[in-house]
This record gives sequence, C-alpha cells and structure tokens, in this order.
Amino acid sequence: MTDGSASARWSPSLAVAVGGAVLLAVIGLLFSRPDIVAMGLPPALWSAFALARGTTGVGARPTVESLPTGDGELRTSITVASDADAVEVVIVQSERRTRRVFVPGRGSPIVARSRVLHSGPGVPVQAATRGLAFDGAVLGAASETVADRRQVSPSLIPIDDVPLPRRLTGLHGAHEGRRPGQGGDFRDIHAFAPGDELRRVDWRATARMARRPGDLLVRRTHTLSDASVVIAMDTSEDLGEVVSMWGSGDFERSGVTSLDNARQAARAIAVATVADGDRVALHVLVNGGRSLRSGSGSRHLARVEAAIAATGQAREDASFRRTPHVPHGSVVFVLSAFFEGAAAQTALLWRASGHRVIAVDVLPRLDRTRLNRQQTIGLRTVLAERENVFSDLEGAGVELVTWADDPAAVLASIAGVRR
Amino acid sequence: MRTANDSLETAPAVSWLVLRMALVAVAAAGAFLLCPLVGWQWTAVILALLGAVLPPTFGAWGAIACIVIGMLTSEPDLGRAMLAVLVVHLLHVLTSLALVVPRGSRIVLGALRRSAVRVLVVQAIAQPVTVAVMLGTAGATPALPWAVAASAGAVVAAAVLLIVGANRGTR
Repeated sequence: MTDGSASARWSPSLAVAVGGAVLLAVIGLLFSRPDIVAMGLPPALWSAFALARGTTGVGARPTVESLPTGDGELRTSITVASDADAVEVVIVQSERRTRRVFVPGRGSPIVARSRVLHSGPGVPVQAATRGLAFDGAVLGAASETVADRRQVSPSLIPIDDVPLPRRLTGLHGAHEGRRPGQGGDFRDIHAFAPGDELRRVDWRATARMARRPGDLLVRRTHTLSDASVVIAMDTSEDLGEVVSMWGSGDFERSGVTSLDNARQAARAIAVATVADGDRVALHVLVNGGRSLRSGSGSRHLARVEAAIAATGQAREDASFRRTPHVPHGSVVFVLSAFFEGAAAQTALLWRASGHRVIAVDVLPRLDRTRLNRQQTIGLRTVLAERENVFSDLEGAGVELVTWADDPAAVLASIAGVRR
Repeated sequence: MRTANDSLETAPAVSWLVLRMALVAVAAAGAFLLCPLVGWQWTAVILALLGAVLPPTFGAWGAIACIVIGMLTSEPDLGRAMLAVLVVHLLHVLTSLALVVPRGSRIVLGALRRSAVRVLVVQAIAQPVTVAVMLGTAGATPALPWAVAASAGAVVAAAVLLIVGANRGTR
C-alpha cells in the first residue's frame, strides 16, 4: 500500500473550522455569552484532533480482478487497500460511464458489471482512488489508474460449407482434388506406367480392353487434398447499424457494428475451416496488424480465435499499405465494410494473382431513423460508391457475401461453385 | 445503482443527495429552534441551501452566523446552548464531507462510520464542557462572567496552538 503522505494535503474545511472557533470565542467574549463561546468548542476540538492526526496514512491503491463472466455480463472485482477513513473510487465502466463511490479503507470489494454489447477487446473497468481522512479534512493524492482488459469472443455461427480454392494443394486432407492419387473416388482407367502400384492393376479392365499382350491397365483414383484459407480483416472502420451514431463514438447505442460482424465472420470461417481439416491464416490489414501464419489443428484454431477476439478498430491514422503474403492456391476471405477503397484494391490484387477471393460485406443492416435530409443524402452517396466497389469486385471475379443476410446459406451456395 | 448496461454492487450505500439534504435539514432545524427572528431563520436556510449546492461557498457557516445572531437576541439557555453545540458541529462535518463528495456519487455507509464515531467523541467532550460553562456562569454577573472569559481564552489559545502546530507540521 502506498503511503501517499508526501502529496496529501489539508482541505479548506480545517482553516474554516479554526477560524470559526476563534470567531465564536471572540463574539462570545465581546457579548459576554458563554453559549456562543461553547458553540466554538466542537470546531476547535475537531481541528485539534485533525491536526493531531496529521496527513499521513491516506494512501490508497486499487486492484481489479476479473471475475467469471455469465449471462452476457463482464464482472470485475475492485478492491481498495488503504488505512484512510474513506476512499474515493472513480470507476469508468466500459469506457462509457463514470461513477464515484466512497468506500471504507478496508471494506468489501466493489463488483462492477457491464453488459457485453460488442465482441473484441474492451476495458470493462478502469479505477483510480484517493484516500480521505477526518471527514475529508485530509485529502490524499490520486492513485494511478488500473484497468481490467478483456477480449470478448464473438458468438459462433455454424457454417457447413466453406468455399474451396481453385486448386487444392497437398496430398493429405478431406477434399477430393483433380489430380490422380490416393483416397478419393474413381478417376479413370489408365495404362500402367512406372511407379504405379501393382495392386492398382484392374485385371478385368485389362482382360477386356488390353490391345497387346503385356498391356496392363490400372484403376486410378483422385487424390485427397487440403485447402488453404486466408482471412483478411479490414479494421479501419467500425460502423454500427444505427447510422445516426456513426462517428459519435457511442458504441452503447450503435447496435451491432461492422467489426462485430467481421469478428463473427472470421471466427465462423476459421472454425469451419479447421473442422474440415484445412489450414487457415489470419491477417489484419493495417500497418502493424496482427498476422497468424497458415496452420491447422485445434491449438492453431485457439490461437486464431484469440487473435480475432483481440482485434479492435485500427487507429485513425492507420492506412492500408500492407498486402500480406498469401499461400499459393488459397481462398481469401476479405472482411470489410468496403467504405474505403483500400480493402477492395487488396482483394482485386489477390484475385489478379489467381486466388479465389470472397469479399464478405460486414456492414450490418442499417437503421436510418433520426437522419436529417443532408445525412440521408450523404448516406445514399457513400452507399452508391460502395455499390460501385462491389460492381468492380464482381467484374473481376470476386464473389460477394453479405454477412447480415444468412451467411451460412450464401456460403453454402457458392461453395459448390469451383472456379 | 443499476442502469441498462452497467451497474455496481457495493455494500449498503446512500446517495450524495442524502448528505446535502442532511446539511439543509440540520441548518433549518437549528435556525427554527435556536433563532427567534424569522428573517434570519430563512436567511440561514437559504445560506444552507447555497452551501449544499455549492459547498466551496461554506454557506453552512453563514447559516451558523445567522443562528448566532438569533441566539444573541435571546437570553442564554442551557438546552439551547447544548443544541447549538450539536448543530454547529454537525453543520461543519457535513460541510466538510460535502466538499469532497461530488454530485452523482455514492457513499457506502461504512465509509461514514469513523465520522460518526468522531462526532460522538467530540460531542462527548463538548457537551459536558458546555453544561459546565453554562452552569458556571448562571450565578455570575452578566458583565463579564469568569467562565466566559476563561472558556473563550481557552478556545483562542487552543486555536493559536493548533495554527502553530499546523505550521510546524507543514515545514
């Protein structure tokens, strides 16, 4: 516990008490009134006790501890350690609401509850304290602010079919490729060639179709391969469904935001991909954005999910100058609201490189109430520009999925289309 | 203290308003019980209200001044003196707390425990002294009773000692 005596100070109430006591004594003396003099006794005694106590021992230090979450709430315990009479605790909840509570120096902890409105990184509680003593006559110094930082995973939407890349790579996996190999369905009957296994010889076909003695025909099957999925998240914008709240920074009344959808989409795609035995990589499309290399398995999925939950909005000055490396023959999901052209440019670049690119529009369904005429016109304009972006993407062969419109069904419908 | 999305769970607590309302209530009770002049009664209440709304103005001490004026216009009385000692003390403590408890805050009752104990301790000392002073001056001549002079001198001496002590403490 910090002592805090060095920076503690007296409140003006001490000087007022001393001055008031003296004044009452003088008035009582002048008017020969013992009752007036007696009225000065309490402030005089109060001041004497206060000065005898001094300004030490009013340091206070807060600690915050995450409690198990439940019922869509984040719970944080705030404990104060202090010898002061009382401690003023300033608590900022979820960066949207500030509260002050005066607690005893060794009292029971405060439990802060914040309803989870958005996924991603957040600070459910920030707390700072100041010790007080002697009815507030001694004021301690403010402590450093401590914070409880959390990452909230998005809810999981099950996806049955994830679109596959144009060319499957590798010789292991769950998807049937076009190349001859092992594990897949029947491909064709082919003349025996060096390297073919003898057990592959189809004797019936040889007896029926061999033209010369010594000809052997083998039964070939397709190979099983795995797919490589790349998730690219655009974190430059975080736009809620309530358009009138855009730019206000009020995420309490914004409704579901584009980054909520992006995190949800990224998690759903990652989970479905790893469940199919495929590899998944994650890239955040800003300078210094996080990247997770391609991998598979439950441990890799846990890393990806943690990275998705920790992905928040990029700084305002962050711009797209980064086109992460994408493994050969990948399907790339570009998750963006596509209000800025940079994400679309990156998607076009990958498409031009021969990858299968799926643009996932994460803009939520918009609530256009409470917009004035100018705002409505402005919204129409930017939405029209967005439509142009989508036209360019579709023209280049980029498939489009709107996450707000039953994404599982849309992905399943395009999953069957092998480009 | 629950709102739609954020809430705090604390031990039993009261609102900041309780302190401010207690300040006005004590001042009003003191004014109406101790001050016989109607004008000064309402002035005391208004000043207490000012002190409750803007604690740095120390309006409650203005209310104390009104009560003193009212008491000066009436004869000394033991019961009134004891009540005045209590009222002055409570008003000062509530003002001191109101200075540090901002609007919108909550006060866990446990945080007021030491203040309550201190009020009792100070009153336990001040009330017997008041009784002694009042009884000591009851038979004396009204010009300058010895007890008045002695107690006033003691208070002033105590104040001087406190100020000197405070200056030493801050060096």
